[in-house]
Amino acid sequence: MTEPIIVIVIVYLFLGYCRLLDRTKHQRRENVIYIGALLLSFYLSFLFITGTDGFNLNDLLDWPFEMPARGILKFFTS
Amino acid sequence: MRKVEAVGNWQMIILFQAFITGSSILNIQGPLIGIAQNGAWISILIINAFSFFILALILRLHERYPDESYIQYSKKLLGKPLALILGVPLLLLLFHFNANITYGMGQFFTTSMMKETPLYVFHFLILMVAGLTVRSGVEVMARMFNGLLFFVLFIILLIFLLNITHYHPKFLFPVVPNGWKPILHGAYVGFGFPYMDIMYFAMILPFLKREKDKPFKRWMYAGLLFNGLILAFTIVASLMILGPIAMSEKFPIYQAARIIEIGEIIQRVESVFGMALIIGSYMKITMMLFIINEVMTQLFNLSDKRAFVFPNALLVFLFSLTMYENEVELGESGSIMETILAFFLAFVPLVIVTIRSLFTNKSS
Repeated sequence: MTEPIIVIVIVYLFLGYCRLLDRTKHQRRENVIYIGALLLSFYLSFLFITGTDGFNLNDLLDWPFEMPARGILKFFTS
Repeated sequence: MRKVEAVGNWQMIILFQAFITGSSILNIQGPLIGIAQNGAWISILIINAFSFFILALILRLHERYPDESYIQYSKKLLGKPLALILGVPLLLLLFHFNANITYGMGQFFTTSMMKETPLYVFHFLILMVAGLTVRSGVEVMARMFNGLLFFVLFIILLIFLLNITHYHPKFLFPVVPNGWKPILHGAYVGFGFPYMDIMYFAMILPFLKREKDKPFKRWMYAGLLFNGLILAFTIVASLMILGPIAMSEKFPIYQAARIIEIGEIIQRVESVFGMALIIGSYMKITMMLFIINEVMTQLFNLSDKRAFVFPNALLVFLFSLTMYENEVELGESGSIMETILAFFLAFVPLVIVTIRSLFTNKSS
């Protein structure tokens, strides 16, 4: 668990450094989306550090399309 | 990224080739041979023929709106709300595919060549370099990938050339061992990767410098045909070298590189394949990251493109580490889900936009 924490800390330090370098007058919308992306990354970092199998992007995309995809696979393999 | 960036015709064609051939030349043989067996080369040629239709749609829209990307003319043609409804799933799809490519590259190294190294080391390093390249802009990418693409092609051809004594043409028969269904299944899988990627390239086309005296469309079609032929060649060569073993290998070219033995000097050059895989994956991940950044900034009207490169790279990094627990899950995602996702979230919106453009005056 220590190694993933170190990796994540390094990644966020790197990201923070880049944000400082890019510091210009950002629009409000830009800040909102940037913070949104960061919040999502915090959730994913939590999953990565703890090694838990939480809800993820593949689950979101599988939800509406998995049944038809399995149906097509069944057609081709039957 | 500077405000005005443009690449020439030839550079754009090289970028296109790097995008569709760069990583597929190393990844596609295993899954396709696994599904279509000896007929895998027919699968790739079938889907390559269909992909001309996708390229024709993209080039038609580009001809009509030369200075705009797919997201920009979608907004114009469908209106902002509908463009947002179609664009957000496309953005998620791009994140998903880029994470898959990253995971595929990392998995290869942790299961075959560098088994003690943790997965996140490969993902972190390749995405950091990809992020830095995207921040440098499309011109730098075009200049860099020119040499790198030829290097990858050279390595692949060298592996097949050094295997010259191992070819067994009899392994190619029967060409259709289990009927046409597996071949059509192979073509179906090939639609999701690599051929639907042509549509994502519509985000890079507006960077083309207008050189009307030089044929651009013709060379793009020729590039696509070249891609189909070279992928079919690598499949045929893998089948001739490995025979039935190729059907259970994820990377047949890697196995082909392992059995090279010319005297005692040239033996087991699989590490060279590893180099080619890194370069191919790097080109693909970089261009996908560039496209993700373009889609995100244009979809939400963000002016500072550079600011979002590293957050996007971070998301791809974390998605690639948390989406799958093992290689089997990635394989299932690639062969079962990728095509249907690409069809509904990328191809259908593209057709809708194209049909809408037919009924719209350019001035409006």
